[in-house]
Amino acid sequence: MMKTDVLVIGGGAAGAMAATTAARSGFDTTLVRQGYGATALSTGAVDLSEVAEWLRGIVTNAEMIHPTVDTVVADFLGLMAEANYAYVGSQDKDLILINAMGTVKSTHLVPETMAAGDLESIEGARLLFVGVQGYPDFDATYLSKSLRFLSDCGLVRTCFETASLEIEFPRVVHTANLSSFELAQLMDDEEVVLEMAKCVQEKADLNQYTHLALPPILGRDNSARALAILQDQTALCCFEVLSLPPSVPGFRMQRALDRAMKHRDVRIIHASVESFSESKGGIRSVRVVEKETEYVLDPGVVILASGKFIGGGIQRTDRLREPIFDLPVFVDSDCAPDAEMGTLLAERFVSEQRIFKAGLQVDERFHPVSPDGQVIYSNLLAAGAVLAGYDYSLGQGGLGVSMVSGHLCAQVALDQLGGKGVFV
Amino acid sequence: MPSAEYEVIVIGGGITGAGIARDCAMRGFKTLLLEKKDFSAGTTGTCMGMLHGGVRYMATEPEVTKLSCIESGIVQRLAPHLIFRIPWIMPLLAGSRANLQAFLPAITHYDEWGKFKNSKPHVVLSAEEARTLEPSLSPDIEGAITIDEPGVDVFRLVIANVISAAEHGAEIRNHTRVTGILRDGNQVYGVQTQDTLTGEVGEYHAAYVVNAAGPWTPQVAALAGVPFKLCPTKGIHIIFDRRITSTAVSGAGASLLPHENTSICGLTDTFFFLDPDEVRSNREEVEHLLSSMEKAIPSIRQARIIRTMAGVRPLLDQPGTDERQLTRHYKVYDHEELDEVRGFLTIAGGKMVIYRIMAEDLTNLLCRKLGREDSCRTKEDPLPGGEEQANPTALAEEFGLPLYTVARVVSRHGARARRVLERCREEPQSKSHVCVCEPVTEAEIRYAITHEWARTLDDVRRRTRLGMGPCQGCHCTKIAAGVLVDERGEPAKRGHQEVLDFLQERWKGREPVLTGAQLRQEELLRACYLGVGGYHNPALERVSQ
Amino acid sequence: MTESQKNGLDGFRERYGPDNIIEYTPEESHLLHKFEWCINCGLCLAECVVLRNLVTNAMQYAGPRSIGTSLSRSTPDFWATSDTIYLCTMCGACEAICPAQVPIPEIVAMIRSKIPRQKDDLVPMAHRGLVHNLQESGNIYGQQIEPFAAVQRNPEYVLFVGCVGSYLERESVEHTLQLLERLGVNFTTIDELCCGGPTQVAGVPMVDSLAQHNLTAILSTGTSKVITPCPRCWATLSQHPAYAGKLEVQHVTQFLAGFDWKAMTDRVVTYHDPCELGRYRGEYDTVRATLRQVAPHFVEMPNSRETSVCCGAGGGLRGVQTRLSVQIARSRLEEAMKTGAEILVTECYSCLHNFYNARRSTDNIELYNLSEFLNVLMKENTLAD
Repeated sequence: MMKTDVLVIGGGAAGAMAATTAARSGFDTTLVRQGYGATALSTGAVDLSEVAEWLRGIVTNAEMIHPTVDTVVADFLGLMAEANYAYVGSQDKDLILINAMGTVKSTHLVPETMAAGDLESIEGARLLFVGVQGYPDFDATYLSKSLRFLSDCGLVRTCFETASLEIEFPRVVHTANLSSFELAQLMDDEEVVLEMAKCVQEKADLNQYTHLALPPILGRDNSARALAILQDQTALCCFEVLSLPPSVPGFRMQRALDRAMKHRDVRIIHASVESFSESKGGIRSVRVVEKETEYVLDPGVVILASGKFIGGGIQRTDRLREPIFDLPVFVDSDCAPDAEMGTLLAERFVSEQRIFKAGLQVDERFHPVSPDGQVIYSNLLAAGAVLAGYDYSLGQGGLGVSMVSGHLCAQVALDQLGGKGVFV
Repeated sequence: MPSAEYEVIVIGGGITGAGIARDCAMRGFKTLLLEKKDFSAGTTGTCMGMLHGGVRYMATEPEVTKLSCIESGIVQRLAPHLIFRIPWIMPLLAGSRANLQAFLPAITHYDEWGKFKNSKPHVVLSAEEARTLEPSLSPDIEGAITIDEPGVDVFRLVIANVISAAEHGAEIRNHTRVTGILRDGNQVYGVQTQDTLTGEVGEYHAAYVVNAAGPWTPQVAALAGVPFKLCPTKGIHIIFDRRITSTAVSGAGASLLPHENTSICGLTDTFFFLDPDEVRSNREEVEHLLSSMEKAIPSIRQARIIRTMAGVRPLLDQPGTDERQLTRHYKVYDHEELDEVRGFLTIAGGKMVIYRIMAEDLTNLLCRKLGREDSCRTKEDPLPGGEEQANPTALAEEFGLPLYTVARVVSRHGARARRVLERCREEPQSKSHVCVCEPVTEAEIRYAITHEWARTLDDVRRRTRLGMGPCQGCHCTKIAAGVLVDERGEPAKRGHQEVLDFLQERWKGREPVLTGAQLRQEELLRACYLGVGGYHNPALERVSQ
Repeated sequence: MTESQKNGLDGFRERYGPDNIIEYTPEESHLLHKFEWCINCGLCLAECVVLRNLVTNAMQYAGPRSIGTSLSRSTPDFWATSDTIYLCTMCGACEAICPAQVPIPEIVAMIRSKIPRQKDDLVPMAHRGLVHNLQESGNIYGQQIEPFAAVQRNPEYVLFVGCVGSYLERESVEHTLQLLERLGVNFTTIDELCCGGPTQVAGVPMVDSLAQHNLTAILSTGTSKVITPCPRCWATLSQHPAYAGKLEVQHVTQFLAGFDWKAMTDRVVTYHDPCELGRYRGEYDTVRATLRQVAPHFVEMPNSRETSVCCGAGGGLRGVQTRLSVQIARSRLEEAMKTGAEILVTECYSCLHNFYNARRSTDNIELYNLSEFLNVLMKENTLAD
């Protein structure tokens, strides 16, 4: 039986923020996770646009919303800096970044490797998209044309020019089926980055351009160095575009969060939660199993940050379930685990599909509640995409909500445990 | 406005229309094939993908079953690369072991006809043996009989016919809707068309217009001012992401068959008199199939369903008949005789497997009408790709591609696989897998665009299986859009329109069955295309049009 | 009987074998519903040790993602995966990072198990050779060797060494034997045949005579308790149906954790988690508990425990692509050396052997299995006394 003050289930953005916040206040913190999930698959950019809106539904004191988000942002930026993967940005400045599909997305906190790509601040720029032969996830020609089109038709406010080229990436033998991770691994090597810069210089007169728009492959571990070398060699501002899975920047962010947790002495156990026991209206113990090893944890507070469908935090076979604690699942604000899929889906793909607002309903202190509003377990909290009510794919939340909710859950936990946490 | 003189205009690019176009072109008719959407985008693309005899018709229409067996054998010879064997376990569900003896004479008879289609004779299995071969079978079965049917890639079969028609001089136009049929008194002399992608209008004249529009034959006939009725029935299928059995299994009113790298469960038979363009699977039908199948395979609901498809069978008008008893005979309608309208023929009914003889009959009639004496050669001449067997191992080594990838190319293109892969020599980057699930190389996608009339991503899908695997286009849609606009020299905004259209098209098939593992996929798909890509932004949709 | 007359399984297989139609086993039929959970996200590509070592190589490897979402879907085409499927080390790093924990190694085992019946000539020589050796000589190397001479009557434990230890790392085995003697353990060695575990990697059925022989040899000593240093022997003897529950098997590191250890060295030591001990069985802590006691200056490699990087010998890769396998071991060795450790400890003869293959004379790193290391330290300390 392992005693711990705060047990976090799930290691994505929500779980990691919860765990680091709890651990920083000196509480014994354990995180249980199985594999990676949506956070590692994300672009690695944190969208805060709907966080305030979402928080309005949870906190009573509207004046505290902006400062709360600022606090979380500061925390996050601090953690990332400690983990040697610096981020920049704030909730007050919308960044407009190019993605690998050739459209754009608004976001707020980005790693340094993406910062120079904010279209809002590069009016009049001349962008050179650099593709890699045999790497199908970044079609430089198409991106160049597409961004031009978006600028011409006003979907992107700034004006800029675009061009494209494709290089033969140094050291690779095959010019086909190259994946982001393979190329990123190569770019961890200084020599390779220098050679790559040379390839670009040989193929284009860089004096004609102001920016290099790069595939999201600027190194697995040494992205800052790769960026610096490229900018130094080419004398241009360089940036990675937003990535789709398999996403190296998403993976980097997740790894940085992992490092931040380890740095704070969060105990990380790779296991699945098999069962739990309750007593006096609270979670008493949680049994986790990894292959043939099992741990029984005795937590003060449990924070459930297990994600939605990708992470397995919410599942649906014939009905919607939360598989660990069997908590009632809501769609939006109705408790409707048996809801027919036909009532949760719309005819048009791009419309809202209510199923993706499924999850747990919580009170203002993040305790999951039953349909009649009763807190189910006194020491159980929930954060991140496991929560109902917002569809992050429609820009209603995302990593921003995950982090803020994770942070706030930790504050509640500390409060409950008699800590010094200041709650909103 | 393009205009030309033809001898035969064929309306309808399903298996029947494609077969007719081929036969006509081979016999020297100057032929034009018009398809309002894409080849096999109608009923043909929603069938179960078998060249079977049809055990279920043996009691009522044995002549159809026999003809189907004979034609199956012929088509297999024409395109052996498209064919794969499907052994079929018919479990004897509780209480039916006694019926085995009653069943056997029909099965033995079917074995005889099965020789026409290279099918193996039946095997009798005990319950234990059946469950050894198929562990997912219900413990309640009392034994099983196995039969054997040929499976076929029906999209490629249609395209092969179209390619053959083109190689014999036919003019081919997809995404070209017939908007009017021209008549001079009682003489039909041509059609008016509109390209549904570009809006371009056209007019074509011909000595004969053939209505092979499947469930749309009544609509087309109406354009000619000719009344025509069908007894259309709707059929739906559920598709699973991989082979979950190694043989086909019959349930109580449903069957599950392993089909290439998926499993297909069908089928249903309900009257459908609405617009065939609007046919959709509904949840009751899906539930009906699953609960029928459950009796033979209790764990069926655990399997990952990736989509469903619905089609309308153009069965002959038979007033008062139950939808499951409708005839599978076909008929060629000579409107000169029936309605005193000359220059217009309609063909309807039948089954996919007998398309060639349907085409032969109709083309024979055309020959009589137009005073041609050429005899049909569609039985003898192999279809494009069927000329000889390609060796995937040798090709994989020659072009430096993974063996599995090449095996899939060969299963689609047969002897012509080399032509598809040729591009890899000059452009090694075209070896990349655009679709990882199937897989499909960039080279094959470009080939479909340059050689097989693929104009949209959905067209590419039909020819290459792009986006038909478990991830349902999550990975490949965005990449393929870039390849498409590059190969067609189109502006980037076309790429975005294609992404929107393709995602919507795939969604239609997925929505009725979305749950379980596919929900995880869906969250990822939406996170990519909406969350990152922003395709739900109405402004993006507007400017892409 | 003619084809048209044969019934039953024989009749079926005769008719449909030529079309490469092979049935799923009951386990596979069940596991399919776990295999199906791949969402083609590609996270596995970040961790695949083969991909990480092939990027500048002429060989192509589709990677775990393709195994999940593409290559495993159509049984009659499994033979066509033969240029890819044998490159997997079955290390499970992909499964560990996967959002749905899709068990890629089990998919690989399933695919490999069908290929011999479909096109036997596509099974790599190394695997065919392995099977031949097992049938002929009862071990994977086809050699004759002296059994170990630590035979006791009325033992409490049988020490099962395994093929790799017996044939390739005898010195290490001798140390383990000495250690157990020092600790006063009442154990015996036996005249072993291969446990049969490698048959799963090669995709061929277990050779029954192996299990029969081993069970007899073990149980006739009067005990059913087995200790083994080989993680695969451990898995096979405890889990394979051929041995079904007849033995109580421990990995030697588990056994050794039951003793009290004290610090015996102040040199810097690091540990490599063998895939089949770590990710396969979740055994990370018992070894570390022991190591930290004897070597206070224990350091972790950056990639350890669940993210431990395979040594490259797994999945039969060492036989199929020796150079690649050793290159992978080299990468791991370099990671170990980068920690500043002078000693790399593991407890798996395959890992140990591959690290020896990868080590250069200029490398400043010593290699040991844990049980070997403990004996070496005890010897040193005794001498020092």
